[in-house]
Amino acid sequence: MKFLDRIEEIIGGVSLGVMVTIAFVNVLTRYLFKYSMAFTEELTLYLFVWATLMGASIAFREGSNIAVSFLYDRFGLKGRRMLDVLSAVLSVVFFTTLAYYGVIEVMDEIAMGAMTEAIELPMWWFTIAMPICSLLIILRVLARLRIAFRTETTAEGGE
Amino acid sequence: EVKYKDEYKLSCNVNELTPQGKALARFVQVVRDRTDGKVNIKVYWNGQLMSGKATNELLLMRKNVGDFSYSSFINWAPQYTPGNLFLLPWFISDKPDMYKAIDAIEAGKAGKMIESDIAKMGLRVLSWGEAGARELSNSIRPIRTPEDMKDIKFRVVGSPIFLDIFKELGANPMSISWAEAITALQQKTVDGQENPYSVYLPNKIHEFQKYLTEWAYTMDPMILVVHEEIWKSFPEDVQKVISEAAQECGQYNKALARLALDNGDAEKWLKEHDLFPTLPQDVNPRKFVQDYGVEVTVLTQEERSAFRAKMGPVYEKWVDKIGKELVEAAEEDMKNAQY
Amino acid sequence: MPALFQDAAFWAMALFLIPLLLRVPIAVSLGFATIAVTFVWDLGLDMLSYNFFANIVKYPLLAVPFFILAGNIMDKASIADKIIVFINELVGDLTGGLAVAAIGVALFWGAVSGSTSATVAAIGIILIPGMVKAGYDKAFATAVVCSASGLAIIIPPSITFILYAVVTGVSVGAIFAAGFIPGIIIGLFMMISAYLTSRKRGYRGEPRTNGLKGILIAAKDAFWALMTPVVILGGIYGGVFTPTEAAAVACFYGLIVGTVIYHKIGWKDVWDILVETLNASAAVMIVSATAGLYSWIGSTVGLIEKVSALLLGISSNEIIILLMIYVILFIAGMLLDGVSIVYVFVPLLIPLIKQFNWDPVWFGVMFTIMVSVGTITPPVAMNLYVGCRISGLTMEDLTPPVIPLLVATLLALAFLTAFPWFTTVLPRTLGLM
Ligand code: NA
Ligand code: NA
Repeated sequence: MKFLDRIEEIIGGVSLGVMVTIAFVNVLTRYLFKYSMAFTEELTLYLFVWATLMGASIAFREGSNIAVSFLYDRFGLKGRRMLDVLSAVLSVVFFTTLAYYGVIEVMDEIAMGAMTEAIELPMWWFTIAMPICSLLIILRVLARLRIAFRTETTAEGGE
Repeated sequence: EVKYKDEYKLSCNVNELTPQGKALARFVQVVRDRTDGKVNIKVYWNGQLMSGKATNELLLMRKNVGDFSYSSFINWAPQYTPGNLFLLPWFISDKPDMYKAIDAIEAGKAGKMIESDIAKMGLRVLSWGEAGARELSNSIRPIRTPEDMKDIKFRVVGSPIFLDIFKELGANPMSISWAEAITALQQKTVDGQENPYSVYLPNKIHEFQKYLTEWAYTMDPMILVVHEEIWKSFPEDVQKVISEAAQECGQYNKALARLALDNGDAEKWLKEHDLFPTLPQDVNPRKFVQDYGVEVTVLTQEERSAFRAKMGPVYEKWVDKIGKELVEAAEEDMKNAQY
Repeated sequence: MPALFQDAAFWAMALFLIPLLLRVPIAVSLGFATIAVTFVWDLGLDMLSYNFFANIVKYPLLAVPFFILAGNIMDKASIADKIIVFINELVGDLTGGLAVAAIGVALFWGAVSGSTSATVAAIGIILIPGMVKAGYDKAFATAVVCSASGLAIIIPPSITFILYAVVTGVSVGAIFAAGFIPGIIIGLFMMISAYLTSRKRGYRGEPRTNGLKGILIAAKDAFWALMTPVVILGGIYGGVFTPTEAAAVACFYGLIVGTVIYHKIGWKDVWDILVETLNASAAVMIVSATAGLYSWIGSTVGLIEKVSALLLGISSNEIIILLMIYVILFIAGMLLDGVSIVYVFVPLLIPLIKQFNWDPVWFGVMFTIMVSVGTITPPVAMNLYVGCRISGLTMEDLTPPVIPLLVATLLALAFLTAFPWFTTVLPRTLGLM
C-alpha cells in the first residue's frame, strides 16, 4: 500500500502543480508576448479530473470525506460499525458502477477516435481517470474497513 | 400495442428565449397537442442533460440518454469532424444570399451526406434550424477590414478552426472559458468575442461592447435529431405528426434568426403563421443594438471577400479534415441555388 | 401513501437523506441515490461517467484548488504573522484593541483566503496566544477569531461564492465584488460586539514598544504581505486576469514572497503544500461532481419543482419566505458543512429566487452569510473545531462567548437584507451587473 500512497500523491500533486503553472504562464504570455496559449484552458481543466480523483482516493484512505456525524457519534461501537459497513457498501456500489460505465465510455471514445476539443488529444487519456481511480477508491474503502475490524475501532473516528 | 414513455428527453444547449429555444418550445407543444398528449417531450435547456458539457451531446444521444436533441455542429465537432463544414470561414456568406445558400446545402446533396453520416450513428435528422450567422463584437474600434483586427484580443470558442481563423487575421484569439468570458469582457481582460445575435443579445454584450461587425463569417445551423430506436417505436401516423412539427420548428427558428436581416422572407413567414414576435430585440436585433448606442458595421460583399482572401491556409488545412467530397458537394448545392 | 412510494422524486430524496444522516460521505450519498433512481426508473445510466466528468471540468471550479493552494502558500510564507505584528503595533493598549484588531486581521486575511477554517488556522495560531498574553480570556479570544474567520467566504475570494456561482450561473466576478462591502459591514458589527465585551471585562493590550517608529518598521516588514489582496482583487477588477487566473497568480505571488522575500518556504514545503491542497480540494470537488449527478436526477424526476412548490405553498409573502429560508439555513448550518449546504439548498432555492425576482447576486451574498454563520453554530461547526484544536478548549467553552458575535452577524444580515444597495452597489459600479 505504501507504493500506492505515493502514486496518488505523485499523480495528483504533479497534475495540480502543472495546472496552476499553466494558468499562471498563460497570464504572463498574454501580457508579455501578446500571445495566448489556446490549449491551456482545456489542459488545466482535464488535468483537474486526475487531480480531483487522485485526491479523492487519498480522502477515502484517510477518511477525510465530508460527512454528517452528529447521529453517528451517538451510536455505540457496535452501531458505529454497522454504519461503517453501510458506508463501505454504498461507496463500493457507487464506485463500481462509475468504473463500469467509465470503462464503456473509454472503449467507446477509443473506437470513435474522440479527441479533446482544443488540443486534440485522445479523450480517453483523461476519462480513464474515472475507472482507475474508482478502483483505487474501492481498495481504500475496503482496506480502511478491514483495519477498523482488526483493531477493534471504528472506521470513522468522528469528532 | 404502442408503448409510449411517460416523458421523452430533449437536449438543447441554449435557453428558451433564443430563436432556437422559442421554436423548440413550440415544437414540443405542437407534438403534444397533435398526439393527444401521447408524445410528451421535456426539454432540458442549457445543456442540462450533459451537465453543461455541450460537447458530450453526440456521445450521450448515441446511447439514448436523450431521446431527441436540437444540436449545433460546433458541439458535435470533436466527434464528428465533417460538421466543421459550416465553420469554414465565409464559405457560405460569400454567396449572393447566404440564407438561400445554406438552405441549398441543407436540402441538397451535402445535407443528405451529413444526414446519412448521422444515421450511421443511430440518429435521425428530422429538420434543420439555425442559431444564426456568427458576428464579431469588440470594445476597441470598428472593424471593416482584416487590418482592423490587428492585435485585438478576441475570446473564441476553444475549437481549433476558430483559433486558426483569428490567427490568420492577425488578431489574438484567447482561450477564456465562456463561464468567465462575460466578466472578462466587462473588465476588458479581453477586447472582443464572436457569436450570433441569439447569444449576443441574451448576454447583453451590447451593454459593454461598443462595436459590432456583421461579417457572417460562419453560419451555425441546428439539427433536430431523434434516436432511431425511439423513432421506430412510434406508429406511422405519430411519425408523420412529429415530422411535420419538426419542419415547422426549423422554419420558425430560421425566420426568427433571420428576421430583419434577410430579404424579407422571414418577416413574411412569421406574419403568415401569426408568429411575429413583439419584443424590439426580436423584431430587429440590429436596430435594437444601434438604438442602444452600438456602432454596427455591416460588411458588403466586397468587404467580406477581403477577409475571405486571407483564409487560404485555413481552407488548406480544414477541407481535408472535413472531407473534400462533402465540401465539393456543398459548393455544388450552393451553385445550383436560386438567388 | 403507495403513490408516494412509487414517486421517483421521493426515492431520490430518501436515498440521499438517510445515508447522509447515517454518516455515509455526502459524495457517496449523492452518487448512490443518483444511480439507484436512474437504474430503477431506467433514466439512462449511460450518462453516469460523462456527467461525472462534466461536473468536474467546469472552469470556475478550478479556482477552488487554486485559492486553497494560494491560502496554504500564504500561510507557510508567514504572511499572516507580519500583518499581526503590524496590527499589534497599531492598536497598542486601547480597550478591546486586540479583539477589534483580530477582526481586522480576519477581514484582511479574508481578502487572501477563500476558506473559513483555513483562516482560523492561519491567524488563530498567533492571535489567540497573543490575546491571552495581553490578558484576554482564552475562550473569548478563540470565539472572536473563529467568528471573524467566517468573513473569509464573504470577503472575496470565496470558495462558497465560486460554488454558488457555478450552480446558479451568476458571474464569479460579480458576486466577488458584491461580497466586499457586506463583509466589512459584518466585520464592523462584530467589532462593536467585541468592543462592548472587552470594555465590560476591562480587556486591553500592551503598550506600543516603539511608538510611531515601531508602526513604520512593522508596516515596512508587512508591505509585501499587505499587497496580496491588492494583487488579487486589483488584478481581477483592473482587467488583468479572470478570477480563476487570479488564484493562480496569487499562488505564485505567495511563493515568491515566501521564498525570495521572507525566506520561509523551501522546495520540500512546496511539495507538502501541493499534497495538502490536493486533499482539501478533492474533498470539495468530489461533492461537486456527485452533486452535479444528483441535480441531474433531481431535475429529471421533478424533485426540485416539487420541493420548491412545497415551500411556496407555505406562504406567498416574500418576507415570510425569506425568513423561513434563513431559519432553514440556520438549522442546516448547525448540522451540515458549507459545501453541502450550497449543493443541497441552492438548486432548491433557485425557483424561489426567480419567483420573487430576487437579485441572484444579492441572494448569493445573504446565503453565504448564513453559510458563514453555520461555521460557528454547534454541533457541526468547522471554525469552532479548528479553534478548539488551537486553544485546547472544548466546544462547550466556546459557545457562550460566540453568541454575542453570532447575534452581531445576524443583525448585520438583517441590515443587509433590508438595504440590498450595500451589496449591489459595488458590482453595479464596476459594470458587472
Ligand atoms: Na475570502
Ligand atoms: Na454549524
